[in-house]
Amino acid sequence: MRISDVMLQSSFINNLNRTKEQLAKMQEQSITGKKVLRPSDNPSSSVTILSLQKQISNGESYLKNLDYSKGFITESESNLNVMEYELSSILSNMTLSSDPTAQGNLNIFAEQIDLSLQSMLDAANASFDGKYLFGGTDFSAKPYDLTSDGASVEVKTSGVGGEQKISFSQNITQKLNVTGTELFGTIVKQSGSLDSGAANGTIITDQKSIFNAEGTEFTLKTSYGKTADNTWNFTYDIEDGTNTSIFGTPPTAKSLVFDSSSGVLKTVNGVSPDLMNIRDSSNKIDFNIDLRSLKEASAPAISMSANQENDIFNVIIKIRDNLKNGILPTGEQLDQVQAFHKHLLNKLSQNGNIYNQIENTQELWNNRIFNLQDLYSKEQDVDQTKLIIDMQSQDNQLQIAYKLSSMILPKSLLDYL
Amino acid sequence: MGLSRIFDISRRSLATYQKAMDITSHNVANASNENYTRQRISFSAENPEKTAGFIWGAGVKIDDVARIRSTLVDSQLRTSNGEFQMQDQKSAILSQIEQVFSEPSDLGISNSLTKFFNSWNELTVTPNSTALRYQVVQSSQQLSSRVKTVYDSINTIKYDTMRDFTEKTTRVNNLLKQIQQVNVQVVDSGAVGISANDLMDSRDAIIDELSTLVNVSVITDNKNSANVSIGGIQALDASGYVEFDVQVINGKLSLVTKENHAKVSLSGGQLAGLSSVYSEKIPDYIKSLDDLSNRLVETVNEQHQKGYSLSDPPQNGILFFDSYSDGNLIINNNILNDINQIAVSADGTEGNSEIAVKIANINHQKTLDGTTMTDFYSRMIARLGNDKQTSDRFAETTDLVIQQLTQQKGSVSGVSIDEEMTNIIKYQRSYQASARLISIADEMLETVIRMV
Repeated sequence: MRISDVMLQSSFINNLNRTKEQLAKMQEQSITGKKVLRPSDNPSSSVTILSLQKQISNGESYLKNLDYSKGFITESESNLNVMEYELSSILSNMTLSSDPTAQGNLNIFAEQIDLSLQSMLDAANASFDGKYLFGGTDFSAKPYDLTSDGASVEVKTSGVGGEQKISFSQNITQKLNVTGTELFGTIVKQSGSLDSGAANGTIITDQKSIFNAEGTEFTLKTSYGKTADNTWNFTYDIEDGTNTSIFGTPPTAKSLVFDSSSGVLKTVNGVSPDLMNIRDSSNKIDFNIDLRSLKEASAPAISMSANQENDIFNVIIKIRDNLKNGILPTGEQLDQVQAFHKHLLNKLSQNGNIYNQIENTQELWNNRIFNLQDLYSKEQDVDQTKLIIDMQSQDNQLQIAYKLSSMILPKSLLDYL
Repeated sequence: MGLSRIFDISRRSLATYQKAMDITSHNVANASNENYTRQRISFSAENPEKTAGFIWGAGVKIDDVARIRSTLVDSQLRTSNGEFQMQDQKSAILSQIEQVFSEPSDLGISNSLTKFFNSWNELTVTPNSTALRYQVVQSSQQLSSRVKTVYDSINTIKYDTMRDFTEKTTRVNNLLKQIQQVNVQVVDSGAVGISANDLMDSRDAIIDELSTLVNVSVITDNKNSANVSIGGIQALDASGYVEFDVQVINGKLSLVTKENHAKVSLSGGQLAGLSSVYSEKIPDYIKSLDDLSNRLVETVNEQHQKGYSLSDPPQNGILFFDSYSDGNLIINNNILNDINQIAVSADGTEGNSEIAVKIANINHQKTLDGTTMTDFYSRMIARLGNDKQTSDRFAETTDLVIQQLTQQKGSVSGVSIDEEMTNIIKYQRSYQASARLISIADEMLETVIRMV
């Protein structure tokens, strides 16, 4: 092949450029410590890196939520423990007050029980980061306080049943708070099944005793009227001791729609079923109806039960007032306090379970983020040792090229003429 | 045969080798000129004379001074050069677009989008927290600003691409004009029997430059006039040249003839690269950005409208984003003025954050083109990376072909100093021999004169 001078020059320049290009690329990687600086460096890696960045960022965000939640749960637990302690103290005072030697000092027991009541109220109104721990989701006011006559405790906000939900992952949304409703409130659960084969117009009724904040008995009457397939109208009424409705006008009926195959309650007035809070200030009535267990089936039978029938504050107030008046606590009152104590321990246990779940989720996220960062590092971080060796090799090539070309390129026949 | 004949033959020889030295010097002088084509002298014996029944040799003459060039290599080189320039131009613009997106880094839309959704996620913890509400507003503003910056920057690149295309079209017209002028000079030289090698080199250099801009095909006619066609349009022949103009036809950046708007089929050169990015790539990226932003507005607003604000009384039906158009992701001004207007409560109580949970979850839902928003965006980034990488690889491969062809061209047309110096020695010796012959003939003549 005939070799011209231009060929030698261009060949040298081209090869030199290629080596320098590779060196420049390596230098860039070495300085930034990253393999992929732009999508075209490695398009598939870019997608992986973006995805890993997103997952790590999401994980860190969930970890923030988890950290915060642990604080909230710890604070809830601490206040539940205060209540438990005070309740134990009340139980102890109730027992001690029955001692014949203490009969002259019942006032002291009343005072101690009053102090415990105040502590329990304080704990019930405790807050964390501006949020009432047992006040649901309405933070507009302190949730619990004595009525103006001091005879009972009432809810001062729109409700204490709101659930504070927090996302811990893409699929886990956790209720964080122990709601006031589930802790102090009465939840009347309607269980059983309505007759799926019943003709339109069929009416099924049920009733149960409920108690107001002062312990006065009322009757809750529920009624279900079939209007169409899988659809029932639900109405309720509350009657006092004289069988008179407490409502001037009956409450508006709600439309219940059941799933045609599973029979579970799908919607109440078009939305997912939830607790129905029923409150009547004039009668100091505040409780919840839970229809979520109600079904439609071919074997109809319905029943109502309540998680706790008596308002614990009212029970304690009555015990206190009775002691002030020289009346000893009754066995029924002791049972009521013990029932709430058991209920409180349940809630403490539930709270502990949530804390454990949060810790587990936190551990999972920590591990996951560690793994994701490891993957990210493999995908994005430069192997500096390998890079330096490669750079050294390229640099050697460059020097050899310079040396050889400086020897060969200037030579021609002219040098020998 | 007289002695004077020796003088004639030697004189002619001297002139011939002097000319040969001229040509060689010209070659040596242009040894580093890439556009130069080496010239080779063809010698032949002068027409012999027939006298007294003998054929007398009349010495040497120059037959031709030829340009040593391969038209096949030229044609392949121009085609490859056009392909390289097209891919290189695409790569250069795509590189600018890559910089605009700044992925994968903390400065990209992907990170802003993730942070936006994470701010809603963190708001679920304390939905009435002023700090967390500000965080939502700030992350939204950051996202909005990032989308706007990317959108505007891409449009600036699009505008610059159009301007570059227009400037290069003007250059195409200028080059055609120059080729036409050189064509006339080449034909005129040929008409008077002068070989116009250097003019043809100039013309080839201009055609080479033209081939970096557009896909050309060149045919040289019998008068050595170059006929050039560009993308199926006869752009230049003996009768003159066609001027080209720029037109956007159905969103596609096109090169058309000025006179009758005939469209050039661009398949090589920088103009093809510019047109491809302007007409196909940029609209694709902008559409993806629009689709993403529109879907974001729809899905976030759909949930946000259901929520209740923190205001007294709580309000619902509030849009989080006012609208999106042309890169402007506009956040509801009422929210910017009063963060309590962020509506995350499903029941109106300030501790309820169900709507924030739902908005945060949008990031995990397949709401756009069968995938999540961030994955949709990642796909677009991968497409951009692939486009750039494909152009780079095409350019790299074509560059290797060009280097091969350039070597071939250099082997055929390039000047070798060694070869030329050898020729110089050869011609110098021939010249010296001819001069010596004259000296000998002179001595012979003197001998004869002395005899008288």
